[in-house]
Amino acid sequence: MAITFNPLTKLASLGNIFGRLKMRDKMVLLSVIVFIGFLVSALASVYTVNEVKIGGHLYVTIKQTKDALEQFALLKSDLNQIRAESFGLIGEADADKRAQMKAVIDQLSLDANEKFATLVKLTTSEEKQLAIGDAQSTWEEFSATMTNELIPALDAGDAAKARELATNVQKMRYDRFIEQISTMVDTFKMEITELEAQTGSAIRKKVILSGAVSAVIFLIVLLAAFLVTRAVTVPLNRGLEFARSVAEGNLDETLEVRSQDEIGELSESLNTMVESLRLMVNRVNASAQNLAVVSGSIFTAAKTVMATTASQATGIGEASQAVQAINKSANEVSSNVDTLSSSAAETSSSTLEMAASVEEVALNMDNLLGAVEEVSSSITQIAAAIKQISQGTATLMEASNTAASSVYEMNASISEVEKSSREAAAISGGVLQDAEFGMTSAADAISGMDEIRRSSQITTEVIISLSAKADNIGAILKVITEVNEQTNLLALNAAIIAAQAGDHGKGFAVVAGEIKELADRTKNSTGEISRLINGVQVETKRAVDAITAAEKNIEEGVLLSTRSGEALQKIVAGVKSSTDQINAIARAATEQTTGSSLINESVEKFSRMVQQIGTATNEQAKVSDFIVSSVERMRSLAAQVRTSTQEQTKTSNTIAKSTEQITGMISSIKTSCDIQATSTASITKAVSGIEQSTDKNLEAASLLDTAVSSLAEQTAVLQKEMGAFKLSSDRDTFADAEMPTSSQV
Amino acid sequence: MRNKLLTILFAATLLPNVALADITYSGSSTIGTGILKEGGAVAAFEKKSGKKFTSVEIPGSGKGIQALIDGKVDLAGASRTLKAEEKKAGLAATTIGYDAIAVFVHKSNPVKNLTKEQLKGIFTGKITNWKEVGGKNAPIVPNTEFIASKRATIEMFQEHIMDGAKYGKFKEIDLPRDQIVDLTRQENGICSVSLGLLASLSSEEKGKVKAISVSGSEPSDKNIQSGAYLISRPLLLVTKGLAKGDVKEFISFILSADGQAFVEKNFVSVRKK
Repeated sequence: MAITFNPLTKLASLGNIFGRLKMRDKMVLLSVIVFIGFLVSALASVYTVNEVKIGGHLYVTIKQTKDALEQFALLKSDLNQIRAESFGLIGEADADKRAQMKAVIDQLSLDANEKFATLVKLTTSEEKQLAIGDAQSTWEEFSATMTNELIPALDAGDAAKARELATNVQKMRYDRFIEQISTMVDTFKMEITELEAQTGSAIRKKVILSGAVSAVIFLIVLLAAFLVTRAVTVPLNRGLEFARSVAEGNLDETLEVRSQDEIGELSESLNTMVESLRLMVNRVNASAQNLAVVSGSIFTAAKTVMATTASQATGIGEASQAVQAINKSANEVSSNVDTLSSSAAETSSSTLEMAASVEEVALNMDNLLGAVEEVSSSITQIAAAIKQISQGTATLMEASNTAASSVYEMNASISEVEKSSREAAAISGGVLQDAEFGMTSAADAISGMDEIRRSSQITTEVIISLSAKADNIGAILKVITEVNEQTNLLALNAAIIAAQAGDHGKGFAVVAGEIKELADRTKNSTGEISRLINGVQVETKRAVDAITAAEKNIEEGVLLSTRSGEALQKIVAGVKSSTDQINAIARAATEQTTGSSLINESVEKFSRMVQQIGTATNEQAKVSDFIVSSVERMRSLAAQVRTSTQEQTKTSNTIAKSTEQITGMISSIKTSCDIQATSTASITKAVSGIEQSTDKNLEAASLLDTAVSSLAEQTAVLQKEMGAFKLSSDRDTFADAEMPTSSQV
Repeated sequence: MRNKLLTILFAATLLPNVALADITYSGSSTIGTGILKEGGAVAAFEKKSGKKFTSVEIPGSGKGIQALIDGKVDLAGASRTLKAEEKKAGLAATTIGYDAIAVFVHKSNPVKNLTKEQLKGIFTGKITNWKEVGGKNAPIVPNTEFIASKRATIEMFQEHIMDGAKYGKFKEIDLPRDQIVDLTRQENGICSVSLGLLASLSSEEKGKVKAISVSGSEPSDKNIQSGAYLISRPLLLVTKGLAKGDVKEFISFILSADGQAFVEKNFVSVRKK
């Protein structure tokens, strides 16, 4: 298998390399290539110009050579001038002019020396420098002869020698010098020619090279630009074509993703988008199909509704006509009854006349009976119609009742919330009360404690004063003891004195003894008292200690009570705030209740209206029943009248009574008739209301019809639009779907 | 048969290449003999560079230059300045040294200086006795090269000294060196020969001749180089256009100190001492 490697496949592979790069990288790469190309081109140009530009190697060489040539020319002219001056000098007699000429020669010599120095500087090659040195030595010889021989000879007045020198040696040197210079000049000129030719060819070469480099770079840049552009535009165009195809509705295609750049990403996104579109279109198609089916069913249902409504309308029209007939008949009955009534009155006033016309009455009664039968049958029809209506209304009512009960339940639950919140409020109120009570109790306890403390303080004080008093008693006892001891001593002394007194003192001794006894008894008593008082004092101290301890306890109690009071206050505050919150809930619930009550009311109102309609219908039914029964009764009464009329012939005595009865009956009939008339009117009214409703029904049905038609149309349009998307035939499921058209409607 | 033919053809194609690669010289015998061949410069150059001189012909400056112009040789030698018409042919000359035509007389001859006029008179045959030029009473016996050879020496002497006048009838000797040798045997002789040839003589021969001043200028190096010595001349190597390649290499060699040593043997170097 031979591998062909044509440039196109190479290009394609290069293009693939570009394809893997991002757009930005592609652009950067392109810019870099262009930049590098520019740089290389610029470098090539610089390289080209460098050698031949002003200051370049060739330029400098040429310039130096030309400068050297110029120097040679100047040297030549210098030497010529010097030679001319020297000849002038030989012929000149004037000393001033000779001095002037010598100065010129000196100056020219200096200039020539300088030129040689310049020439040596200008030439780099040793060979040329040799040649220049050669010429220079000739010049130096010439100059030396001029300075050392020619001018001194002139100064010495030996013009002949000077002339001889000038025409021979100096001329030969001059000639040699010119030769030497000429040889060099020729060589230099040739060099310049060659250098110029070299420069020309160098420039040509460089220009060609630069041009070639530029051309190659241009081709590379062009190729890179072509590849980058291709890598961008080809997938972009494919994407564009694909997008166009998708726009035309073709969703079955997929865009092949080749590059990994933004366009590749775009292609992937396009594919994803088309896939989503495809799925979406399938879903919409399914929905459209369903819609067609549904709209078909609706269409059928609407047709049924229309037919039903139409038949209902017909029925109602018939009912209305029947009712009107009833009305008419009733009116007729009423007028007949009126007539009957007047007849009865006439009967009453002229029984005889009545008697005579009883047969007529009987006849009339038969007619009446017939009419009544007619009415009865009509009424029965009405009743049936009304019952039908009633049934409808009942269904309606049931629905409204359900709504009402739902609303009621809601209301009830709101009420329950309200109740619960009220209960909560009440409970928290109780808690508050209890807490407040607790607080009061705590306050009471505190005040009780205070009381106790006060009491105990008083007690302490009393005990302390008691103790003090006991101490006082102790002091008094001490005094008493002292007095007693003294008394005892005195008694002893008296006894001694009495003993001393002898008989005279006997009585006194007795007294003294008595006193001593008393004193002893006193001593005993005071001792006893002292003991008691000590006991009292000990007790008092203990009491005081106990009271002090109690006071401490009381203080603690007071503190605790205060704390509990404070805690209770906090509780009260908390309970109050919770109560407030509960109350707020309760209020909100109440508001809700009001709201729901309003709803309830509305529902109820609605329900009531329905009920009213129901009631009205029921009443109608009842009334019609009543009419029926009345007619029935009338019929029986009429039968009775007939019997009575028949009896009248036999019992004329009871005619008046019977007539009276008839009159009463008639009046009751009349009343019934009036009621009937009223009822019939209300029936008529109701029927006309029903008719209106039916008309509205019809309108609604026709609206429904229109809506269904337009739905069908929309469905058709949708299906048509969806048909624009080309999907595989296995996906096209709704194409055969049945759908109504406007012509069917 | 065929192989032989091919070999010949191959050799034929090869030969010009070899010839082109090496140097061919034609021209001045002064240069060709005094510097290149006997002078030893060619041998030294060949040894140093490995390049070869395939031919060194010495038909004289004029013929050599013509051969150069005709493209027959790479390098010409001229012992005179280039003529205007030669310059027009686009020739480039390099001075490699200076030669002088020395006027030799026998050592015993008392004459030390001869003016241009005196020399002209002697060689045109008008002055025939040394007495006329301040010498002893003796006939002047000149010898010359082959005058018809138009060698540079002859031409130059004719131009510089004789102002183009014709030589008188004298003994003609082919080689200049032999002229001097002849002079050693002739006390009243006189000849004008390249000064450089003196070096090729034996010391005995040298001792029998002397170079006299011309118009008051002795043939010293300085006088020869500066032209103060009347019959001095530059020695030129001439190329068609600027020298290139091997020829250029040779010219550089001859201008180098080593090369100039060969010039100095017989002539005046362009290098300053």
